[in-house]
Amino acid sequence: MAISRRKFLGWMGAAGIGSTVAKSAGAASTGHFTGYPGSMGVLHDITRCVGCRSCEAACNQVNNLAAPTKPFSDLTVLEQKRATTNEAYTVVNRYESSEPKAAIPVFRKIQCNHCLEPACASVCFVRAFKKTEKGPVLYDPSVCVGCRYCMMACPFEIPTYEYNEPLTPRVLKCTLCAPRLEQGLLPGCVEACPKEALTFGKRTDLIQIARERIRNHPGRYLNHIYGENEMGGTSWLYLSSVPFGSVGLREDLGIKPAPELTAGALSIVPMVVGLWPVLLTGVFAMNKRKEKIAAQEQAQAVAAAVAEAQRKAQTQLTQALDKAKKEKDKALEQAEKAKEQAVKKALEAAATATETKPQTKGEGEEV
Amino acid sequence: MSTENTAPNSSKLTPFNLIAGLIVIVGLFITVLRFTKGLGAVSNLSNHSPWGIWIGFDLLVGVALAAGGYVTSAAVYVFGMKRYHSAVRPAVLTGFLGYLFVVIALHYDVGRPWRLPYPFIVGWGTTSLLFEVGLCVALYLTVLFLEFTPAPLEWLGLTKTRNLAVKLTMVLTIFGVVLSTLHQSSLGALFLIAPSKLHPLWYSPYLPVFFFVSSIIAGLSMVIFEGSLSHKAFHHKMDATHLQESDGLVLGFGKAAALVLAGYFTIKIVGITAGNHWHLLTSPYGYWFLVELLGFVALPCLLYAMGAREKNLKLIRFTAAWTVAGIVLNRLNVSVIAFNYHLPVAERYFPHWMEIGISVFMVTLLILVYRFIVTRMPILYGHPDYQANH
Amino acid sequence: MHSVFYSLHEFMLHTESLTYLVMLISLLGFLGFFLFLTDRDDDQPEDTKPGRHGHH
Repeated sequence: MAISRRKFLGWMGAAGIGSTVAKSAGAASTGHFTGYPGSMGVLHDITRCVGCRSCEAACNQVNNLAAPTKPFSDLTVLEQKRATTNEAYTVVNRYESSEPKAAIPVFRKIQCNHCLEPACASVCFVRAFKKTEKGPVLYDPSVCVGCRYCMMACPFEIPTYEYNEPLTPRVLKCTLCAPRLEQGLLPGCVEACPKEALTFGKRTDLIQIARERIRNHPGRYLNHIYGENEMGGTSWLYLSSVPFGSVGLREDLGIKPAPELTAGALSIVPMVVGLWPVLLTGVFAMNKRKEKIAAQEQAQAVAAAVAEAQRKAQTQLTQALDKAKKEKDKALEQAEKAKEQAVKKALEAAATATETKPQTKGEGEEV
Repeated sequence: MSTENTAPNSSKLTPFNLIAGLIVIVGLFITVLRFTKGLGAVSNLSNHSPWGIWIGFDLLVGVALAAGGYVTSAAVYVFGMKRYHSAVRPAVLTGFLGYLFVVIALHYDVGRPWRLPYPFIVGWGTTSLLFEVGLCVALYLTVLFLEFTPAPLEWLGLTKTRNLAVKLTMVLTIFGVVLSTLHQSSLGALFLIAPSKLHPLWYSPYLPVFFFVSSIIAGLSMVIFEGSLSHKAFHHKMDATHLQESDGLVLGFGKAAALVLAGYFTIKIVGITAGNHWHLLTSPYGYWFLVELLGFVALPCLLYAMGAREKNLKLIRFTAAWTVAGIVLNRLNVSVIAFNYHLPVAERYFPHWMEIGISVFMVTLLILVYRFIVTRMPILYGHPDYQANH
Repeated sequence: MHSVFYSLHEFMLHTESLTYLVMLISLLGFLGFFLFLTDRDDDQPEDTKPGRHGHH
């Protein structure tokens, strides 16, 4: 059972997409996140796409983009592999597949996949990207610095940049026609598709539809809905008859939502802020203490050396004094001896003189 | 630069000045072109390769090579290696100028440079690692400026303000190490978001650790490398303490770099093992990875060790230059060479000559400002009035 | 204030913003606490002498 996009348009009108999303309890808490309930998406059935480029023309028109050099009716542009540009938010590429069961060639439409956990929003340091409740991932040029980290991060290589704008470059990409959704209209590309290769609706419903198609036509589809889990899930979903890798959809992206890739590194940041100062002041304090102890030990050593020197000096002084005293005594002794000897000599001399005195006196008297 | 030491005051028309003047003229010309015609006119950047050498070289290499500031001040003030004190001022100055020119170069790369403060005014995109990098770089630039202020204040003779700035040294050093740890590692973590675009040999959950550890190596090597350049150019500006301490510094930092390189080599091996990427080593990208790992990690580790054992200053100085080249190679590998490895060769990025022109212009301006400062302020010598503090 | 988060990104934006606030407060708090912890260390005569390296 295939539900047409027109039927979905009816559903959408009845529900009034703006009001379906309510912030009610009972949704995901901190453990596991399932995205905004009731958010919208598009299912692209690659097996139905004929590469007519109607979606490209519609996209160009609804977004008021510059007219391309070759008209949209010119299918020769499919000769080359194209990527989104700032003048074409969506492009269709042709892929020659070697799969036997595939209708050759295969066409695949490329545009922003409007991830449930967009890498561009996760890495934007001014929060210029936002996953809205209705599904579109929207860009706000009024805060954008133009660092282009979003383009580095996008695993689908979708965002484009106005490299030739010197002062006011913007990042441009598909908006899932958010302004049209506000008016209750379908995205331009979905409305324009003549082959119903694009189905717009609630993402949860689209997954059911895709499962049903796979079940009803097991020979036509691979048993995989691309975008159901890739990078945590995308709002655009793909069904294909050939391996997704052969139509330019990378199969090695994994199912981890983008924010989880950086969550680990981010979680280390507060640990560094909390513990590095402790560690560093600790090392600093230990070194300071070591220095203090070294200084104290040095001071003690100096004091000890001074005391030793003083003691030595004292001893030397005492010894010197002793020696001096001894020498003094000796000198006194010697002086005493000399004195005695001198007295003795004097006395002897006096005695001798007394013996010879009469003679001289006699001589003197004669004068 | 060796022409500088001959006669600093005689002729201004040295070959160095002539070449520098020419580069400045070309740089100004490209600047005008960038801000009138846009990035497309001066670069080969594309939607698939939104980051080129202005991020890979000017930002990633610039920040890594400016790590000398935090490495040296941490070694001296936190880890108590006071005998390297004379190396702090030149390292802090280079760090400050390095970060300053990183920020100036960013003005060319981002679309609306006057919005660079937006993350902290209107944005608060706290889930982005670039937010963390921006915050840390902004704060660290301020820290480096404050760490550097004693030199100009001594030059101007503002003793009181200078003494206040010196008192902050310890707090600034520790804050600087915290900030450096964070943004050096986060520059690597920037690439964690793109496992599908960066070659698995370079992509690793350990990328932030690799970037942080290699920034220490970059810082140590850069202090040695820049010291040997300064010796040639500004020998006459160095005082006895600086000249006396410099040989010990080269030996000590060389030995430290050998140790950190050994650790870095180990964790790089852990990275391959944890990712189970051994089989990729026999691909062309694997050979290139081995050139980096063996030629620019293992080899300098060994050369530094030999230089330290044999007290061979010449060998250590050569190894420092070699290691700096290895850091440049690593950062360019992660950001440009191994990035977008899945794209066909025709869609790969190769820098426009004008991108290289701006990078060379930035380096030239940095050298000119460095020369202006060291020939005037007490950087390579202690100011005679403040000797007690050295 | 969100009480219900529908996406990991929304949740991380909330927790990371709070974490940055916690980091700011913790850095200032740590500085204050360290000063409180070491305030009286300086009473000892060794530290009141002018240090050889002019910082502490």
